[in-house]
Amino acid sequence: MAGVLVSDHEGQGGHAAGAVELLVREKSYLFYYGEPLKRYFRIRTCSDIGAVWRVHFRVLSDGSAGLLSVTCSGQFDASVHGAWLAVVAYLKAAESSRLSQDLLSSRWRASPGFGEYLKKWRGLGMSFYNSDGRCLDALGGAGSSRVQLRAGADCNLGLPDFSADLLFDVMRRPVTRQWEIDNIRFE
Amino acid sequence: MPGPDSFWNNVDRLLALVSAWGAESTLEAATSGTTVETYNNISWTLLAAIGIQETGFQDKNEKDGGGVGGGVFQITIPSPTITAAGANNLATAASWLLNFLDNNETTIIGGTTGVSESDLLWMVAASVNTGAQGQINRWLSGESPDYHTSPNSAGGFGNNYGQNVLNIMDCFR
Repeated sequence: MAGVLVSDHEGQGGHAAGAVELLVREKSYLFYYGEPLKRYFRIRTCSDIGAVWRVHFRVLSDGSAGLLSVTCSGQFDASVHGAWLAVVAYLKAAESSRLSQDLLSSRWRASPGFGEYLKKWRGLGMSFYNSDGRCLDALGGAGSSRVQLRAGADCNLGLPDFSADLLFDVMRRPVTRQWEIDNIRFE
Repeated sequence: MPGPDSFWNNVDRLLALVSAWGAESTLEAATSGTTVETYNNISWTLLAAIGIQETGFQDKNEKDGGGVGGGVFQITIPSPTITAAGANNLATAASWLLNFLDNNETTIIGGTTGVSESDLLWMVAASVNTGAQGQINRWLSGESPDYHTSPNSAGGFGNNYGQNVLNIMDCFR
C-alpha cells in the first residue's frame, strides 16, 4: 500500500512506539510501529509530512495494522508537502520572535481576525517548540490548493503555562504557486 | 536547573542507589527517610522508574535502526532540544526529562477531558514511549494509555510500558 504521510508521532528512544497516518485516495489509514522501524529512504526529507510512503505491514490480532517497513523514493504530494513547508518556516521564524509576514496571505493580514490572532500570538510561548515539524498533522488536502494543518500536543506551543493547538489554513497562490498561510486559529 | 533542591537531592540519592544497584540494603538506605518530593506535579520516583525501565539505570547509547536512544533515560538523539552529550549527562538528562514529562502532562490535560488523576499519571508515564499526542489520540479513540506501547522484535506490541513504569515507581514508596 502507498499513501501520503499526514501524521507521524512517536516517543523517546530506540524502542519508541509510534503511529503514522497515511492518506490513500482521500481515505485515512492508521499504522502502529515500533522502533527500530526499517526505513528505506532515498533522501533525508522522506520523513517530511507530505512524503509518499509505500508500507509493508501486517494485520495484528485485534485488527489494527503494524508496520514492518516503509519505503520512500523521494516522491511527495506537492500540496501537503508545500503547505507543511510553509508552516514549518513560519514556526521557525516565530521561534526567533519574528513574525514572517511574507508567509501570510494579504487577505488574512487585512482581515479583522488577524488583529485578534496577533494579540493571542504575543502570549504564546515558543521556547519548547519541537522544531523539526514532524509534530504537525495534515488534515487532508492532498492534491488540492488548500490544506489544513494542526500544530498539536507534540509541538509544545504555549508551554510552560498552558498548551495551545493551532490550526493553519494554507493555500497556494494561483499566480505564483507559492504556499501561504491564509488563517491561523487557536483551538 | 529547575525544581527545588530537595527534588534533586532525591535524584542524588537515587544515584547512590544506582552505584550499587542490586544490593537491597543500598536500596533501603537510599530511600529510607526520603520525603517524596514533586516538582510541577512530577515525582522524582517517576524519573527513577523511567531510568530503570529503559536501561536498568545504565548510561548507554543504543543504536539499532531508525531510532537512537541516549543515556540512562534513552532520550532520542539527536534532537532539537538536547545534544547527545546532554542525554549522556545524568543531571542534564534528568532535567530535560522533567521538563518533557511536565510538558506532556500539560498538553495531555489540554487535549483531553475527564481524565482521572491516576489515569493522568499512567498517560504521562506511557507518553515517554508514545509522545503526548500519541496518548491524546489513544484517549480520544477510547484506547488504554498502554495500547501498543511496547513494540517487540516480531512486529507486534505489548500493552504495558506505562504500567511497568508505575509498578517500578511503587518500589520507592
